[in-house]
Amino acid sequence: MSALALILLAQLLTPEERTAFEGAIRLHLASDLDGALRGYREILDAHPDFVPARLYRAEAFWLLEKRDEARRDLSLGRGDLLLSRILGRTFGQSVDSDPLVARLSAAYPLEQNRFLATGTPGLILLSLGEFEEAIADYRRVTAIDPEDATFNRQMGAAFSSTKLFLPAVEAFERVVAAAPKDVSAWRQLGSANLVLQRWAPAIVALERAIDLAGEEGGLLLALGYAHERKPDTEKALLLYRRAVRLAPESGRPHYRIGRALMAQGKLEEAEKAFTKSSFLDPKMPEPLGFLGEIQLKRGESEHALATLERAVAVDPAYFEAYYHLARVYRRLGRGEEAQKALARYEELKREKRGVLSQEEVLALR
Amino acid sequence: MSRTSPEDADGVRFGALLLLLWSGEAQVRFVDVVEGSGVDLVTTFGSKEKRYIIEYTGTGAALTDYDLDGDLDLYLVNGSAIELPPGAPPTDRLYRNEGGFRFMDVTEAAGLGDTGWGGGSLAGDVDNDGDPDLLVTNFGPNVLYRNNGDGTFTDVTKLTGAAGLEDGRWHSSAAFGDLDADGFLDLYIANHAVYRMEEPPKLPCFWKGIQIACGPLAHRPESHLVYRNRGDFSFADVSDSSGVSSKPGFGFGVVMDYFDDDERLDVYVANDLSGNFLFLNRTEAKGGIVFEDASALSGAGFVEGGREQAGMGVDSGDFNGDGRPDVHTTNFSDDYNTLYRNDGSGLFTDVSFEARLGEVTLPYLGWATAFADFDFDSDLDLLVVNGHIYPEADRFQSGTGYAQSNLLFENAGDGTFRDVSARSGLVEKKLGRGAALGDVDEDGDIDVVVANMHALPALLRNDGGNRRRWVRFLLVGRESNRDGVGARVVLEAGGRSQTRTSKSGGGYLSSHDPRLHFGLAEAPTVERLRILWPSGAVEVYETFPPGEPGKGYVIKEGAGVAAERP
Repeated sequence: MSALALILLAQLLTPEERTAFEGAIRLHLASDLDGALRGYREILDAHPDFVPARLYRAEAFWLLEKRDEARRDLSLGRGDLLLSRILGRTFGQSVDSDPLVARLSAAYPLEQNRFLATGTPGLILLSLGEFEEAIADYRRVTAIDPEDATFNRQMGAAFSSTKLFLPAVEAFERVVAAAPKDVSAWRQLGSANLVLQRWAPAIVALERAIDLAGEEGGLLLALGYAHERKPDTEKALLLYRRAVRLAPESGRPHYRIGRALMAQGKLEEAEKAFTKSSFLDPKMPEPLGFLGEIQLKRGESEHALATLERAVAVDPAYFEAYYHLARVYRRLGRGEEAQKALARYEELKREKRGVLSQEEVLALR
Repeated sequence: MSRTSPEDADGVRFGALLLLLWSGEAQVRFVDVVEGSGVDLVTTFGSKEKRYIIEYTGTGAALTDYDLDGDLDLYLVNGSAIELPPGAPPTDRLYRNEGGFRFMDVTEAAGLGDTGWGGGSLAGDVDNDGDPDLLVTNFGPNVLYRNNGDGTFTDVTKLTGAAGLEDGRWHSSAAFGDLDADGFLDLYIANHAVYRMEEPPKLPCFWKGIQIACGPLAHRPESHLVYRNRGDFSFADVSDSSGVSSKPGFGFGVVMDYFDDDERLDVYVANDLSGNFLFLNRTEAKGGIVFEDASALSGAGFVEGGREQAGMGVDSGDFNGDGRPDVHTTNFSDDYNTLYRNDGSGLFTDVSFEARLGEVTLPYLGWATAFADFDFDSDLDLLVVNGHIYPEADRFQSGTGYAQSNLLFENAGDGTFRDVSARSGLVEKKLGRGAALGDVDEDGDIDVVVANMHALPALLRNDGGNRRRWVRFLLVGRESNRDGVGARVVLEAGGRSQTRTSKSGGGYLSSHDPRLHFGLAEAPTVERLRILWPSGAVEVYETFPPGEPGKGYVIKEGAGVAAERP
């Protein structure tokens, strides 16, 4: 069926059918999803290719956690999933083109306002793991109403939660453009850029968040990290020290200070920071791991051994400590123990890498 | 010299006197003199869009005196492309040094001109007949050329009997060294990834959220090759029996040196994202070549808590004057280049940040690296050649850039380095890959040839590097391999001791001037020179005068010293 025919179909619904469809949507909005499903079915029995009803029904199924049914509605003719895509393909126009959007809006005012603009298909697709389709839907919807901060915030959060950080960045950029005082959006924009290792835009966003929200430990640490990687460890240290002043009993800012000092080659000062961090937060294995590394660098093998054994006692899955332990044992001439520690390191790293590799691929999107 | 007098001692002393008159701050400045040099190869290397991993690794260069006329000639490797325009395919080139940074293309006359998808070039006297032979590593079959001694070469790849040399694997850097101390140069070839042109990876791959050509993790790592040289241009493939082939890695750079204090030449390989290799040589006298994999426990395979870096290039050198070869590797952007200090007994410590080499290198994607005393102040400086692999790096705020400038770090003498890149003239941004070092213009100091992708190479003339005293040695083995590869030279001058290993191959896809260059700073003489030949022979010379432009020394194993140019 051509897109033109679809439009005509929508416009040619009988007044009774149109009223029935709107009634189903009202039930849907009132969370009477079973009632809504009945209404959609009536429409689809008469007009199986009426895409808006199919999309609404998919959402209802999705909300009822009937994911297979939702997927089926969305996948029926994947190319027909979204009207705009059909129109674009049929007429050879970009889905983002203004005339197309105007025609779409004219044909489906209700759908645009309620359904398409909320990006529900995108959310459903995300939940189903259909990332490429979700991103495409999001981009289409934002072309219809690029300044809808609510929608963009929702989508940004959804993309972040599924580790799709590039579309998340795009969504949060739209939010802050529409709502420049939205602290949460600036924070999330900064975080998503950090994950993408885009240090300069991360710094801009996080600085803005601090301007709006005032100093918060988490924001200062995130901003410091962006500077550390930029690289500007002096600036990072200033920020971490501000975080210490805000939360003097927290171990994490001291840990970050230790890392930045290590990057400056200041091992003695870094050692103090890691010691302090570990004292304040004894459940963190990382400061102990780096403390052990510093001791190893100095050739203090016995000290390093004790420190690294503490690290694995805190977190038996902290594979980094086993690597250093293997090196320490080797230096102490304890070959068998070195091999055991190395095997443990490789085993734990493999387990973690199995999870990470999937995440890493996604995180870089 | 107590053992052997130089044949032209008067000339040498005169040169030393001239150099004594010089005083003041020596500052190195590199000037690119490629324009008008006669070197005209603009390398082909895949598409400019870089859609596949095979398209971004680039090529190397070799500086070698192929015609034995006393100066360094230049072999430049060329790549290829998936879709080539009609006409003659891209070919490697040999340029004969005409003096004064002028070159003549003699590729055809020399019988060279490989058209494979080239990567590296390695010069070495495979048959100990006194002239350098040439290995070209390719994506696909490698080529080994025998130097005929008359200015021409013959492709002898098929004579080697080494099947792996001609296989279709993706061969990367290579290094020659006498691994079993039988007097012939054996060969290590690092391979990169299992890659089939007809089956590129289908996964979408991303970098900083941008879709890019898939890197190594979308492929399988390739196993590496070790060949024992039988001495007659035939090689035995000992990759399996040596223990190397069981450990595949995304190999790029290779260097051979003495990493664990014994008398056997070891191998270090920079691998992309698969952990670097340290293979300690455990070959017994008259036994087959055997390695111990010491990569992880040595501390030189990973950084921090066992994290793999994206290793690219590698070189070894004694940066801190303790007599042991340290290791420097280059890595991907947003990661640091790594200096592993050799603590002895095959144990290493990452001292990159303490040495001031960490933070400054984070934005760069490094390839070739080389230790050399560019300013002749008697310690080893560091050169790093850079260039990103993703054209997309310029399309958003990536924190890095596609074309990048190279870096020069001056050894401060206290375990740290200073970034002197800008003041040394290293400001031009290119897609640098391999680099070959050597005294191209025979003025004493160390020049650099950088192989750039999709561009002319940079011929970086070192201006000012020879203002301090220096001396250099060309080693000629007799019991040892003819090139003296693997010989260790310990030089004492001005109260300092410097140790160098004679190497063939290093950095990235390249081969340097075979002569060993030493800066003497203000020391009037070399007080003591000790040479540990691969054969086990030890020779000691005393009271050695510095050289002068164009006049180093040739040291023949068991036969004394002569001026490089009588």
